[in-house]
Amino acid sequence: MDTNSKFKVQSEHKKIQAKFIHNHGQKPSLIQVTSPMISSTLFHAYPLLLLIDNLLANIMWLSDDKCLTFIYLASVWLTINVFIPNETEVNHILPYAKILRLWIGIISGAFLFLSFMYYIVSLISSLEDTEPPTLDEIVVLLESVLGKLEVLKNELNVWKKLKLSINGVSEKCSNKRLFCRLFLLGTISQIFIMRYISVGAYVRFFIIAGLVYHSTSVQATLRLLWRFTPVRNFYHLGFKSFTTSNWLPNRLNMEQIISLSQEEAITVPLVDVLPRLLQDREGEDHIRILQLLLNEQKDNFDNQDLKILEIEVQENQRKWHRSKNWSTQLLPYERQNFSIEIKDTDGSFIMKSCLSTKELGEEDLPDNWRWINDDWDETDWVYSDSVWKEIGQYSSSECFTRSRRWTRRLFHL
Amino acid sequence: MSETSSSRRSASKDAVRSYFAGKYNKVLDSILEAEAAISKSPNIAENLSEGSASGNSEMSHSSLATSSATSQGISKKELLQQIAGSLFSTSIERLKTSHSSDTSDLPEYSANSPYEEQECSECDAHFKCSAHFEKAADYYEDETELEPALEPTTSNSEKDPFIDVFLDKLISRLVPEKLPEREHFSSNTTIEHDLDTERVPVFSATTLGSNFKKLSKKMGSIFELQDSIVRLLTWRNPTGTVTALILFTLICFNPMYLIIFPVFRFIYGIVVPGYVRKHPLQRSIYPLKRNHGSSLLYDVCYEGKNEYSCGQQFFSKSFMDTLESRNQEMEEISELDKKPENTRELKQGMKVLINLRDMQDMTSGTLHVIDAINIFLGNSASFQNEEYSTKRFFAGFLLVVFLKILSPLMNWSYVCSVSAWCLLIYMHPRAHLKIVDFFKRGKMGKEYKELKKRENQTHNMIFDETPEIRYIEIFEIYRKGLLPDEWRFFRFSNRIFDPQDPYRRAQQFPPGVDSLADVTPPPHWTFDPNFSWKIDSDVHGWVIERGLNLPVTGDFLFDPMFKRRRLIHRVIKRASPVSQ
Repeated sequence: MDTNSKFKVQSEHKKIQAKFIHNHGQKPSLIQVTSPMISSTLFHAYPLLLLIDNLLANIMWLSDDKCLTFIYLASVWLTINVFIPNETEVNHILPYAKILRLWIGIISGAFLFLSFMYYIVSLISSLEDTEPPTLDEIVVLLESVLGKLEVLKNELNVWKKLKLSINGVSEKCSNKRLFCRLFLLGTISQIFIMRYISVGAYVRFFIIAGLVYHSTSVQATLRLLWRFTPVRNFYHLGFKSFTTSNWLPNRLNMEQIISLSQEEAITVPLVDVLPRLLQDREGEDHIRILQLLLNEQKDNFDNQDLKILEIEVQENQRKWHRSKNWSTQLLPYERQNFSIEIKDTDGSFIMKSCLSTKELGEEDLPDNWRWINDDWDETDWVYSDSVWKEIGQYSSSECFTRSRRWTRRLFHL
Repeated sequence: MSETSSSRRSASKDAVRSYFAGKYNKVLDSILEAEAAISKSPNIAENLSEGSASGNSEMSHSSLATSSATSQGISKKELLQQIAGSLFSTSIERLKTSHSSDTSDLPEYSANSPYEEQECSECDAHFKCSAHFEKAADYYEDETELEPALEPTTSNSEKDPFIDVFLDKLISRLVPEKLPEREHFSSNTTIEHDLDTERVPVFSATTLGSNFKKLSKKMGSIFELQDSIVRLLTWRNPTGTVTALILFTLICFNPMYLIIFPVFRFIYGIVVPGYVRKHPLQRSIYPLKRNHGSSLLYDVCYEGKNEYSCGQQFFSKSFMDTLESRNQEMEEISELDKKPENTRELKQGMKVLINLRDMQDMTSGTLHVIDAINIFLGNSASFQNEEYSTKRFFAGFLLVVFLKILSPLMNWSYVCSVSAWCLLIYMHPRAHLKIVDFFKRGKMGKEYKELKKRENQTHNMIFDETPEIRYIEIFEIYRKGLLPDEWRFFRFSNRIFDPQDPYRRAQQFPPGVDSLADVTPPPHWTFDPNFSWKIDSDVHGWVIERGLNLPVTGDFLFDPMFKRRRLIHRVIKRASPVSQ
């Protein structure tokens, strides 16, 4: 009994560390659950899988010896140089520079080819020498290949990035905008590039860039460069259509907001609604105001429509650094500190910057518009990630933006 | 496991201890030698003791003690050895515990100092007797037995253990306080500069020792760099070598890369890995258990030994580190057998030892290189072997002319890169043999030609410079006999032996021989065989040259006691080694 209680005390004080979920690695033997047909197919595909795996590893610069990959890269470069002559190279240094380049190119091309063939031969011979792979091994290899392909896909997914909308209302941008982006990226910028860079250099650049793109270093470089706001601004300026109205700091005032969002106002004949409105809620302020107003304008009481409009202003904030506080400063291309959702001409919603709720409240309302509520109603902060994808109610180190809604109603007679 | 590690640890410690013991003994030996040398010339020793007596009292005690000990019949050297031996043994004892905290040793040394101050009743106030010193030795031995966990000598001057202070003072006594600058040795100018004591550092054994200790810890990275360069040059890392060659070629064609590569290396070798460690790229890739196939380049370089291609480590460690699960496992494992003290100490000890060994290798290598350079310079420049040196000169001259003419036609980019590639391919262990074989095979046919060429070459050069000719003199001196005209042959001398001669004034015989056969020419000179001793008949000539005012009769120059005549001989300079 005594020892039992002691044990209990100990277990209460001692904390236990949870373990990570292993997605891969040791698995129950697959032999029983796999049909012989699939097993034999996998077995035959094993060398091919190895080849693909190695190829992917080389593309992703994962091999232990980075120097070897670099040598391959240099050989590729030299081989390309044979096919795509370098126009800018000064040839007067040596009359036989061309011949030399040709020779080196052929040598490196041969080296590449021979390396590849040698690898295949040595692969086959080593497979023959060693014991055949277990099914687990094959599956692990298959997973490895798939994992690598998945990474490549994620890193390469330009289409997804192109379609990504920045204003954050919907995840995808409109087709028109997509077309604009494609046009911009695909043609206009290309023409500019072609003007200043030769075709050869352009092709070489793309081949080499493609070969190093998946290395850890380049990926890390991209991410590090992405930290600089000028880079992001440039990227989004280039990808966005030319309608830069959002960029301009003209913030909508009350009059503009009302005129832009008038369509959403609810319009009802006052005669029908008024008695029902007045029935139960004697005490509320706005009803009283309404009564007062109605008393003033008894004459044309019958013809009047009551328009009720709810304005919803979003307050947005961004955290620029994990350890810092929330800031009202936002990136120029995204939604601004106070913004309002407005229907665009093509029917989609866009975010427009507007004055702060305080400023809006102090503003004089246009003719015959009156506030119903005395003040703005606010919701709690909703936290989201860097691209305004909602995460939840609570701030965590994952959250970089947050927004809350201020609503206030007004009416028009 | 633990047993073997502890034994290894103790072994490494023994090695460290023996190293330090050796070091101290060497210092001791040198000090003793210096002391012995100084004691031979008593003036210097006195000066030194005077000069340093003002500086430190305890040292003057010991020096006086040693001088008095000699008078008592005990060997000074023995005594010093006794004292210092006991002191060194204590200092070595201190090395027993090498990796504990530093703070404990301060009070112990302060406890030592009163003992220094107190004086032995048996001996004089100014020095201590040998018994006193033995006592001192006992005292320290006792102390080490009582306190075995003492620190090794630390570099901090506040915590200087007694032994270091002792050594410092001893050396500062033996060595002049103001050491001259190096330039005073090299330049011939005799201008005396004021020695700026603040600028000129005083020699101190403690500083030297601590510097060496620090260096041996911190030289690791330098040696690693050296080792990696050696590995590159010897093709032990073939892809690395090829990569280095490619980079070198790029630098040759565009020297801007000299700046670009270090920056690139900094960015992608240090900054980006740091970023990746902190913000892992979420790439769900994991390594395979084994790999098949091998790379052509490796197999060519390794002669199909497949050292790397068997694929235990195909995937990089840095990549492995990104795998969180792996990391977790590793952490668990490392937590399980966490004996950091042992392993760390062992590692540290081994590291220091390896560094010391490398340092030793480096110094001996430097010495070898210097020796080799000296030998080469001596051989080619000294004209010991006339033909060899002449050939070297001629080759050098031709080379200068040729290179000067060639220089405007050179394309340095191509030359540098191609020569680097050729050199490294030549240095490749397998290729080297084949290249050497190839050239040898080419040479076989040429051997006859070579022989013919050599025959011709023997008649290419002619060494017919006329040798240097000079004349030597010897004086044939006669002594006056009892009779007025009696002159008896006295001796052949190289001195005139006139009344002003120092030998004569000192009433000594001049240096001389009885027969001309015993006269030898000056070193590196030989007598001209076609010339015999000749009496110089132009007496007035050599008398006037020497400004002697003595009577001359015939071939002789007279004075009251002696007469002499000059014999001359022709000598030829031997083709002898130029003394360096």
